Order: sequence, then structure tokens, then C-alpha cells
Amino acid sequence: MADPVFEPSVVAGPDSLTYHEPGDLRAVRAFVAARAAALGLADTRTELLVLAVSELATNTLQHTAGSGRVRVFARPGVIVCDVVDQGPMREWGRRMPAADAVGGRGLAIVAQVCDEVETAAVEDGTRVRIRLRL
Amino acid sequence: MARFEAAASTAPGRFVLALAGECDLEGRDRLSELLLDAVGRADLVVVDLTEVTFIDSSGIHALVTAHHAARRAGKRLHVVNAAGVVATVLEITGVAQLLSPTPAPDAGEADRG
Repeated sequence: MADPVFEPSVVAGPDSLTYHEPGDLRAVRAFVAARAAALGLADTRTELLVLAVSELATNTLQHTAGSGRVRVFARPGVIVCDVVDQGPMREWGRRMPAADAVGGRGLAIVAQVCDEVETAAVEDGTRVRIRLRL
Repeated sequence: MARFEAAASTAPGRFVLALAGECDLEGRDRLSELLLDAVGRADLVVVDLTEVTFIDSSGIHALVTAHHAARRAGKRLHVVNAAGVVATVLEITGVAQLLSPTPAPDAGEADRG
């Protein structure tokens, strides 16, 4: 069992973190920033990765009934981040909404700031995988 | 608790709301309330983002919602002093231009194509 001293939502494994509510988003961003920096991503690129993951986690919390999990790891020349939740297969390639549109920007921002985005059905839900080159 | 702070000040004809911290989903509703309240107080609302370290589509949602409220009332809402990734978010969403205090000289060009 988890140590009751800790909030379950902010107990991180070595490379992943689970989030449940909007109050967890800050911890998600801190986790991603720390992981990306440790894996060698430059500061300005790390800010973009953090932004993208925050948008994906926000998407989970707004459009699904459950929680999500974020994992950050490195492959040669690239930082990879997986966000797994129970949401639908996200579609990419939509244009950024008009500047005066009230909403609908989250996934467009993700697509804009990442080098690659893809969605896959996986055993435990839907996985959005994003990549930023080192 | 709130992840961002807001400090209000007034000058002739304008209401300045200086934000600080992180504007995300957690604080979106409170930010919307603060911005809509500001729109009710002056013909020009200036949102100073100097101390904002993070904003995403949730914060943009609040800004654009307040922009529409201002326009409906014949008022204006501007954002100033965005830096770093905050400025990046405003730029790629077009909101930097939408809420700029100075009209873009080449707005017609940007609409083309």
C-alpha cells in the first residue's frame, strides 16, 4: 500500500505519473519538466513539451470520466512522452481554431509544438505519443 | 488552492489586472470571473502577463471569453508583457494579435491563403 503521507496522485514511478484532477496538472508539469531536463532536452524545448503534456492531461480531465498516466523517456535523438487515458482516439491535422474561437485549441497546440504526434489503442486505453527532438 | 495571483489597479479609463503564476484548467473559472469582473469596471481592461509563467488553452479560453464580453459591451481587453512560452502560446493561437494593444499592420496578409 502507498504511504498515506503521500497524495496518491503525486507518487511517481521512475518514469511515469498518474493524474486524476485539475489540481494535479501542476505536478504533471513539474514531473515532465524534471524528466525532460534529466534526459537532456533544452530548456525552451522542455517548455514546449510541458505545454503539450499539460494540454493532453487537460483533455483527459475535460473529456473523459477518469484519470490518465504520463510517461517520459528517451530514445536516440528524441524525447518521447506517452499519455494514456480512457479517451477516444484523438485525431490530428485539424487547423488551429480562429483567434476569437472560445475553445477547441488544446490538441491543435499539441500538434503545433511537437515534432510528431500519434494516437494508438493500447491494452490499458488510448495512448497519445508525442516526440520532441533533442 | 489557486495557482495564480491577481492584482488589480486602475488608471484613468482603464482597469489593469496583473496576473502571476500558472493559468491552467484548475484556475480557469476563477480567472474567468476575475476577467469578467474587470470588464464590468472600465472601458479598457489591460491584462498584464509579466509574472505569468505558464498558460495553456484553458487560460486562453478565459481570455477570449472575456474579450467577447468586452466587445459585446463596446469595450476592449488587451494583454501585455507576455514572455517565453506564454508568448509562444499567444502567438500560435493568434490571440497575441487578437488582444494586442496595437493593431497588426499586416492583418490582411495574415488572412490570405
